[in-house]
Amino acid sequence: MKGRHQVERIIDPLAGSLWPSQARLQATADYQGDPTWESRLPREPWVLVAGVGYTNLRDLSLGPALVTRLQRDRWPAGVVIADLSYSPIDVLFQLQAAPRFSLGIFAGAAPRGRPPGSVTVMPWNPPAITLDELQSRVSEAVTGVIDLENLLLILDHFGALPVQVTVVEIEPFDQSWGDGFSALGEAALEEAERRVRALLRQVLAEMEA
Amino acid sequence: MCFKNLPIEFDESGRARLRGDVRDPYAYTSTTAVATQQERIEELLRRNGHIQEVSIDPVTRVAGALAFHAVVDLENRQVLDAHSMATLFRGYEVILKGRDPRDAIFISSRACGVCGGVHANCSAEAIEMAFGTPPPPMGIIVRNLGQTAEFLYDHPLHLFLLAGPDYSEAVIRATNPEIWERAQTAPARNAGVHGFKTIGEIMTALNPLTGSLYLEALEMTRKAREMTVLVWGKYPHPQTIVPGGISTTISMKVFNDYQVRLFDLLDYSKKMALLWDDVFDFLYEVEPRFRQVGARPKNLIDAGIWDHHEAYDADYRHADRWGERRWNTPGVVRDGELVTTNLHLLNAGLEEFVEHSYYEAWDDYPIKTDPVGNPLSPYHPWNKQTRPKPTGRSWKEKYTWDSTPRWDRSVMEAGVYVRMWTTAAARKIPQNPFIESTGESLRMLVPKGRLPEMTLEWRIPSDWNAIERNRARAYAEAYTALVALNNLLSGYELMKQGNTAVSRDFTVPRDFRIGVGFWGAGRGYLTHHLTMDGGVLTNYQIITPSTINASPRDPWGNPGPYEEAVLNTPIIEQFNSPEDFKAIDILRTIRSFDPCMPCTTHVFAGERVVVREVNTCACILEE
Repeated sequence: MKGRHQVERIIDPLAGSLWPSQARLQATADYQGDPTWESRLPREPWVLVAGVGYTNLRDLSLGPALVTRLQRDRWPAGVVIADLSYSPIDVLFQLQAAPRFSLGIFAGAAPRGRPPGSVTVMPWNPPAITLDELQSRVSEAVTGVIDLENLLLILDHFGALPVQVTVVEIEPFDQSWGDGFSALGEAALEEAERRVRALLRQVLAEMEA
Repeated sequence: MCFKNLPIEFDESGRARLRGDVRDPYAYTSTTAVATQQERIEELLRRNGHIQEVSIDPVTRVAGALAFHAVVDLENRQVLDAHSMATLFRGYEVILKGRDPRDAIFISSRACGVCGGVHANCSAEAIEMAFGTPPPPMGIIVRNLGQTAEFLYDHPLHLFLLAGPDYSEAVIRATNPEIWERAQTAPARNAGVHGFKTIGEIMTALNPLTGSLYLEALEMTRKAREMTVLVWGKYPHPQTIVPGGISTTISMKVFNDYQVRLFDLLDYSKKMALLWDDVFDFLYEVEPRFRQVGARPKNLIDAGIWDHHEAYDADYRHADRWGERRWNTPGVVRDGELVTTNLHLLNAGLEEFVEHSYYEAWDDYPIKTDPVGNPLSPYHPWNKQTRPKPTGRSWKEKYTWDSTPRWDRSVMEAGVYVRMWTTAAARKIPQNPFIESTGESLRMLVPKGRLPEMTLEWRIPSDWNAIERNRARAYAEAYTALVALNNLLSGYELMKQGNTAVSRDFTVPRDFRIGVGFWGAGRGYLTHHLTMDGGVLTNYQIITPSTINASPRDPWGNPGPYEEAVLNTPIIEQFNSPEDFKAIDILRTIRSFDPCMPCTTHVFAGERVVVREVNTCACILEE
């Protein structure tokens, strides 16, 4: 791919620093109800890599930590590396104001009773939940809860998820307060970063081809 | 004379002092009635099958960790006992001690994930009082613009996403089918404004996630948040609020962008007030017992908010004057009567007790008077120490992490509705073209947008209950939007004069200082009290509206506002067996206060951090 450059940052309070300028321009068209916006999607990759989680909760903070690592690199235009560790409703608003991403990679720690430090890469399959259950997730979201699963469920309900979603989950070992990670968490972070980079390489190669 | 329990009197010049004939003016004896009452309730539970314990943990559709325990007589449809429990420890007071005071703005902001700006502003006011650094006029205006926008987000959020579903078709059908039956044909009086022909149509539109009003509210919260971000740079937890002002760069474009969105919300506020009027008037009509749901005495407190840019000087000595020139008049209402609007007296009457909380008492009494000589209690926030001690867990002893704030040793209630009430009753709102305080009401001229110009009038209600809390909140959207409009117009004027400075330089003093932020959250009353010495904080105490409303019994055995309101609530819900009982009337009561238990999930609970259980199927692609 030609013309690699760092994703342009917008100094605009409404855009925050999350989206490239290209997204902002197209979002405006969408916002004004232009029905043709989707056909004008960029031909470049339009990929979101997001980390979700609280900070200073040891291994539970691996999602945002992964994003911090990835943000140190230069990525092609159209690859957005974002820490989405804030209210899922605000994330929803951000995503609704941009063209739909073709691929989303969402990373975070999730305790599921697997071997601590294991990394799971999977397509996201929404659980069957009732509207009441979903409403309780929205209530949590608007009252400040940051949670990867809530985020995915809410984005899915409002049609704001990327076309294709891959979830990278890390099984935490140390779930107590504090910065840094356990040795198992640290190893998992390395592994998760390797997997995400591999996924991105694959996507970018496919797009280039 | 506003005090009737504390031994405070006033001299000829109106200065408060302690009465000379009381030897130990703040001493008290804790009642033993709470223990006796608990034994009686336990006996009733043992003897009667129809008397049941109802534990709601967590109370959903509220912010943070709140649990509620009630004892309900299902046969006689009565609540016999009620306990409100803040189940998690906040601890911001402990975190802030010993820190640079400037950190407090950013750390205390995190006390709440919903009101991410109110603590920052309140903290900034406390600090700039201690530093002696008032913001320039434009700094005050911009703070107000952000703070109004935050509430324009918060009120619809509560009315449509959190409390609103309690009045939706989905809930009414399940709990009171007889009401739903009538709602379907009951005409909506204000259909011309909001477009819904019947109450049933409104209730359907309130259905969570699918109803048009629910979805519209979500969209309106976006606009309000955009307004907040325009003037505060970031939301939640703005990084631009500093002692002595704000660090945002303000331009005509920013004001214009803000104004475009404000006019959308002004229109929305017309619809919001009138559609909730329709729902609530209908409910009173079909079921008069709704007047008792959530009822409690009209004892209310509010610290005021939104300083006037020509009045506020961050000096405690003048707080009585600048407080009364706020866009929201501070005040205390006792038995329905406004007894003071003076911030000095409001502050002097404050005490915080811990008899039924997981804290231990303190002995220090360093600050006996405020900076103008008003007497202060040893239990006043400037004297209080936060000492966590989760022992003695029982209804008779300690059962919550919340403390017990009281004013003049009376149970007070906080809320945005108190903001409306004190401002309406005081008739002290600054001269302006849009809002009139009549003594009995707030009359609001909402300008033309897509909808025509309209006068809305919120009247101080004769009944005080869950419905009136929510009704006032619905009208608060228009009130807040008009305060924003007034400030925006003043901002344009200042800009025209070239008066655009938004902050002032300061130095951190090294000597002993004292400060208090009198402010408000989306849910009403908010104060931050601090002392500092040697350039660091020596004490920091936060009282939020939910600290007041969720408080447990006080030393005299009086229940806190949630508890009291639930105890007064009749069970209107229809159910065939105890298993069907959904406790909707209790929940409506609690949610009408818009509970917000600061800290949300980001808190310590014993040895574990609270995380959500994961439900998504982990269909593994690669491991």
